[in-house]
Amino acid sequence: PNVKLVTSDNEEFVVDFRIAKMSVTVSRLMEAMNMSETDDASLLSNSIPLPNVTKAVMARVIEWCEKHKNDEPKEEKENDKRGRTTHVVSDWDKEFLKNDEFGRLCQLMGAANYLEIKGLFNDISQTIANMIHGKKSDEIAEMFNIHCDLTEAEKKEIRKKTAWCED
Amino acid sequence: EMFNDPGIDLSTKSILEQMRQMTPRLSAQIGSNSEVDGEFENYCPFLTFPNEVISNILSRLSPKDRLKARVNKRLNAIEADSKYFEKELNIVEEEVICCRSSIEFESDSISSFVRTKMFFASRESSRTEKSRHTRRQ
Repeated sequence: PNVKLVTSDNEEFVVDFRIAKMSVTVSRLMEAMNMSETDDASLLSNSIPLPNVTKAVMARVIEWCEKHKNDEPKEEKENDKRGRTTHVVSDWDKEFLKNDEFGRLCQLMGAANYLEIKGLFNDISQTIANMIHGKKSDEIAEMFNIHCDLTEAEKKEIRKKTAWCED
Repeated sequence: EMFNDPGIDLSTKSILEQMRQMTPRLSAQIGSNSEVDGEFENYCPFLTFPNEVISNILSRLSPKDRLKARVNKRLNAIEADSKYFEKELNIVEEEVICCRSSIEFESDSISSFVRTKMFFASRESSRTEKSRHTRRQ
């Protein structure tokens, strides 16, 4: 059975029921609209509106879901012994995300967050964390185009606190 | 949507120039934390994320990387609210006068949870004791 998803720019995507169910948000909406796998009529007559996702981003999300639709549910280890969330990004996922310029990666992250697709969200979150790793403060600000709105006193305070970790 | 906005006149100015002028409106929609000088070139997609998402990204980094990520007021505030887990904490008394930390030990005492709020101060205001103590958990 197929499910119809409609993006903010009115593009309709027809996806496999299993793919639609990968999104917790879509899953909940289908439940609310009494759409079930065994009821073809309900699937044909309804479509799921996704006002926070554009056509271009949705296409990327579906591409990721197609690849991962048969994956076993993966438990992410939150707060390991060093207190970090750990997630291993597979080679396919690295390849999938590596050509996205940062703005697009953020849009995809926003969609994964809105659609509640945990695997995709974790992949992108880890990818962005990897981009930050090992960078100095000014390099992070430059990379993400972050304007520093800290006062001189705040900067001084932060420098004091982070002196031990500066190279 | 942007291009269907009736406020845009495609005939008079370049689209980029019009988008630059629209930036304050876009920023307002995204939220004040993303307002960056009102310039289109300074638009920062990273700051369009809600705090929980930024926090999730930072939770994947080491304490060193996380401290270095405090590059503006908002990131500083997010980081100040975050938790760090360290297996071992060395406190050097002659450099630290106040360590406002809550430390909870796990039953096996292997790791400790530290809510970091360390205040460093100069030697003059610190205790006169010169010896260097190291506490290990």
